[in-house]
Amino acid sequence: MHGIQDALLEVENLRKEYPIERGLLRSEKGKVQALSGVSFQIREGEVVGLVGESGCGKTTLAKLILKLLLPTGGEVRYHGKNIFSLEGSDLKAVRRDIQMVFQDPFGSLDPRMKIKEIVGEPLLVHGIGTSRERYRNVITLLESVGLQELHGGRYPHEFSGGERQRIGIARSLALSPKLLVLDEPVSSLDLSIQAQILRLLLSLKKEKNLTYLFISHDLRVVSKVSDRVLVMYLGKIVESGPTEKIFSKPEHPYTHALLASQPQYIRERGFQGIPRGEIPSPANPPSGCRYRTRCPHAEKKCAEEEPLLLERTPHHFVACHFEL
Amino acid sequence: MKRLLRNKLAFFGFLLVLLLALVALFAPFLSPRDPSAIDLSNRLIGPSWKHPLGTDQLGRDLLSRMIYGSRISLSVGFVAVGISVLIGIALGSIAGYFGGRIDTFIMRFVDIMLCFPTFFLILSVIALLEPNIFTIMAVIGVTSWMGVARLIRAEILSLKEQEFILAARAIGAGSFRIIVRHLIPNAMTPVLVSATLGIAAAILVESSLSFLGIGVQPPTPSWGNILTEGKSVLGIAWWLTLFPGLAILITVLAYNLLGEGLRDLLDPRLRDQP
Amino acid sequence: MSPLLEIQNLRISFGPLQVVDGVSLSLKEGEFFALVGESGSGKTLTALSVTRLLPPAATLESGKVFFQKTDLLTLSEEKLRSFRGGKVSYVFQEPSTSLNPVLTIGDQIVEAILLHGKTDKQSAHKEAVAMLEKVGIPSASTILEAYPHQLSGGMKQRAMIAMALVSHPMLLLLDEPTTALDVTIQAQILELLLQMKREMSLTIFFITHDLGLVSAVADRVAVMQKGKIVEEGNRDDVFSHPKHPYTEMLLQCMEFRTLS
Repeated sequence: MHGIQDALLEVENLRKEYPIERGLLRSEKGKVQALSGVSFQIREGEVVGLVGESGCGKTTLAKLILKLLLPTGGEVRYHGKNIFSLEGSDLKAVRRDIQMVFQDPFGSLDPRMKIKEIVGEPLLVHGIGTSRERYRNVITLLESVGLQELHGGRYPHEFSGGERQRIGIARSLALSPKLLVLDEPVSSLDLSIQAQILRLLLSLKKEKNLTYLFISHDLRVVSKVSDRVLVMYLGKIVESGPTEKIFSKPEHPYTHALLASQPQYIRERGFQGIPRGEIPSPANPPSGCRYRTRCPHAEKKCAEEEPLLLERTPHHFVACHFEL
Repeated sequence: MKRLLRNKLAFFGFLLVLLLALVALFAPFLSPRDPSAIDLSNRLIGPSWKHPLGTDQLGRDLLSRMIYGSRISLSVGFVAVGISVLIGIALGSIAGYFGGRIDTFIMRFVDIMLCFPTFFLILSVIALLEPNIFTIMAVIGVTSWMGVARLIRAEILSLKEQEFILAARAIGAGSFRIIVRHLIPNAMTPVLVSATLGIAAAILVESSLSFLGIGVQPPTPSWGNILTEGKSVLGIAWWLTLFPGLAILITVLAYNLLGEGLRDLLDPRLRDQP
Repeated sequence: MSPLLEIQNLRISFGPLQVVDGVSLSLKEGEFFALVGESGSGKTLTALSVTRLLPPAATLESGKVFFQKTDLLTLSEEKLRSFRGGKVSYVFQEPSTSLNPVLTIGDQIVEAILLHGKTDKQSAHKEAVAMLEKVGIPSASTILEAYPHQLSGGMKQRAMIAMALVSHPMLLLLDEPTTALDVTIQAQILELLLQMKREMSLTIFFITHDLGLVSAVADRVAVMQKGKIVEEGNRDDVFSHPKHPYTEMLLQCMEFRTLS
């Protein structure tokens, strides 16, 4: 493991289960295993990319890191302190340092509030500055994302998707956070706008010394911004390592499958690498290695024993019984 | 606004409502005479130049009494609905936001309240208390908040999951702020419709109570108690029944039209059409 | 060989906006044609106009749509209906909204079969099972009894494709069929489409916003921007020698920072 002192954020064995309730009496009929023991670290100044498909738990992870949800088990440590055991002013202090940019530019802004109120709300909630100081702050924030003071007086529906996402980014920066969790920040935008927003995010990172956890299902986007990539499947991390390594020499069969499903790869190599079958439901994950139902190399051991996430080469972790 | 104009009936309702509000507001200026001025030499005169709507058993000018009566009707309507909306929003939003046992508790309370036939409940309460305009407003308000509570709760249940609410929590906003600043303003649409229709209902209740003699007491003129007084002389003074009756009818109709029009206007599905 | 589908100078407005501004396209029989454009480019309306499935707020101002030799836009509503779902089939983006949630998959496919063929319910049922198997749905007879909400996104889309293919259409129009799906499932659906194209001699008209997506499957590509076609050509030509700056920009977005 890397030096613990370096880590800005440490996630250890994080688990989240949801009970499935059925019938009039709402008796429990099973559990949805959204996250099943996820551990990783984020160092200051990094951009850590998180990729995965439906049911992998990436949005649940984002909500847990922001303490919008409580876990079933495990810890999230910010500067060494477990956020789930913090209360009151300690918690508020951490809340200021960790902020989130949301996916939906149309749903993440209150349609009945003016832009200046939306961007200034974090300051208001934390009692920062006088009304005039907050307003000045808001203007600076708007300008830093490429908007202007006059936009502050308008309502969300008057803006395009890309502009609304800029507003969302401005809001997330209001409290001068250290860590930004971005949950599919460009997935709802047109391709031409995506590039602009990505460039904005990268320049803001440099300017304000930020650290990013960048969550996306789109590998192309993740490849463009991340230093390191975590690959998730059905609530677990299956592979993690530096971006170049992951994309050029993936070691886990699922990472292989994700890359092989990219149209450019299909163009060059045909359909042979794409996985078969459906993604299992998180309510009923396969025993042992969760990927085994779609893995071309699965053997008996895979159904019996769950592979651990182990460091194969420096900084490159893989959870698989076999080496490919 | 444009769409309101398009819906002619709703616009008509809106104009009527506006007209009635103006009449009530400017009653002292519009009323030709003092509504309580007794003139025994001019008792039970039919509609004429001097008294456009006629006079009652005490020679009081009906038109003036009607104009002042509108004040009673409208103020009861607004205040009673105001009270019910406040209670409904408070209980409905708490139930919707917190869910769980609080929600169940409040909703069972709503169900219990709905079991009572409202009008008889009001009758019972008024019978125990002193019948004046304030008790009436309070009682109507306290017995008609259930619809609003359910509406607000339903809106909040769906709004709660939207990302801007999640965003508000992420920046550290507390429950109170989220409910009051974010959820309620976005949930008001169906409440507006319900409130408008509620005013119509409240006016009917007040008129009925006054008609039965346990509402607004004479000599204060209310359309309902004018009806009561006119009941005994119906054969010879039809105007004492017709005009208040028409007034109640038109007012209730106006608010209903406006309410239905608002419902169409604010229906989000229709909003997308150019 | 004359084209299977020819769109000439199509002009459609949506309220005050000119959404489709003089679009001309032609599709050869048996080819996989991709129309690429971002939101608001007019690509969906262009596709819907082929059998006049335009929303009420859209006005078809001018243009011709020739299917083989018939101008579909001048046909009577009755004759046009026989094309829809018959010779020309559609698959839309959101299987959750295109499938009736209160009917079983079987009911909906059988309905589609009965509408366009002259068979009885029993044979239609057998055909439905066969078609579901063809599109790669396992335990097809069980799935027939299932309701849409019981299926995954990928399964639903396969069912939609099956429904579109039961009439053995000549032209299959797909509007963003994979956008809502996970990337590995998306790849499976693309593979299925190519397979169906081969086995049933289809011509495919594929609409998407993702230029990269079509690099694997398209024969010819057209790029649309603000109601106009800005680039058109063979897939390889467009990808290696784009002529329009908009195409170049879209191609750049496709890039991986590190491609092996």
